[in-house]
Amino acid sequence: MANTVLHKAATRGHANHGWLDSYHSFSFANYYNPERIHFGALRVLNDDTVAEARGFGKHPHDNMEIISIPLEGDLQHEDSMGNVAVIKKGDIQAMSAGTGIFHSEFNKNKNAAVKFLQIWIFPNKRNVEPRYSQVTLNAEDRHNKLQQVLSPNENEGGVWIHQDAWFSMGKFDTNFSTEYTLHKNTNGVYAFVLNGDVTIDGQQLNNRDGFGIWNTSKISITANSQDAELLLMEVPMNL
Amino acid sequence: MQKIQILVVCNHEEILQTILRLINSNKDWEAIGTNADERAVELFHQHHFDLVLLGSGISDESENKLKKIFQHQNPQIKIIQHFGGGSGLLSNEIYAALSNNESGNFNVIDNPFN
Repeated sequence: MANTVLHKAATRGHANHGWLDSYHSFSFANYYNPERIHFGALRVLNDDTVAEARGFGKHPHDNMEIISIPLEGDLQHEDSMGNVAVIKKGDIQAMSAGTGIFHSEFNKNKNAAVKFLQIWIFPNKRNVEPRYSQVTLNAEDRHNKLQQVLSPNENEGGVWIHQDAWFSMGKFDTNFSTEYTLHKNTNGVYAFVLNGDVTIDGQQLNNRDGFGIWNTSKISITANSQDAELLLMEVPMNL
Repeated sequence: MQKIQILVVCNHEEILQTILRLINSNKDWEAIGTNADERAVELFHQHHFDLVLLGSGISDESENKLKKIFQHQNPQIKIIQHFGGGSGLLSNEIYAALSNNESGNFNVIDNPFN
């Protein structure tokens, strides 16, 4: 029988620094909840809003796969590998921090906040060469279907990372139903509702709720509102 | 109250300095660090530490060697892998390691690669 864990949106950690309003699904910075450290290889899921022309100054990372998914606005990225890029809604960015990198992220807009998800996955290899990639996805390809946006393989859909993880996104009409089949039976799925209401394996979920499921091979999804949006993160449960 | 003493070993000098600055900004913690194995062993012999943080760039060989030496000298020493390079996980990892020491419940990852 499947195991589950439910993280209602209102129970997430929250930090409002003025320029940064961040909700943490898992322990991060000053939010420490020993019951919410990670879901398998998924260590960080931050739901960030950065004020106009503000952002994260130059800071380091190592040995972490870092994925950014903009939800609104434009995010400017610069790193010690020489990459300068802007990611916007519809893009997905992946960075393997490996042996160590420095980077900065700023809201490029002078008159609107940027909203984005910051996701950190433990890698399956330590001290890899740092790497940066970003792709632009066609949002139409996720209307009433699940669009793969991340995988462990360079030639599959979306970006790739050093981990046996697969991410998918979908945007559904009311009452649309689908199933998601896991790639590996040692993986679990953490579902995060980006908009609206959905039901997954009988569990009703609302905007920004998180729901983890493992010890199962497939999950069923039904949209309970128009334009319900969902991010599925399949990750190894055993590290 | 006596500060928690932390040794940081990290091959990436810039990241090491960031980690030390962040740890030392906490009034209850005090950290020194090095990017060399030999110096780490020297420091461990010279000072009392409650916690050792192994950061970026440490090879498996170095990690195993350092762990053996540190645990031989102090079997109670808590040694953790630091991920993220001095960013949002640093405080969490230290809090978790310290609470593990107190409760004996290891509900977080010491080293997800092992």
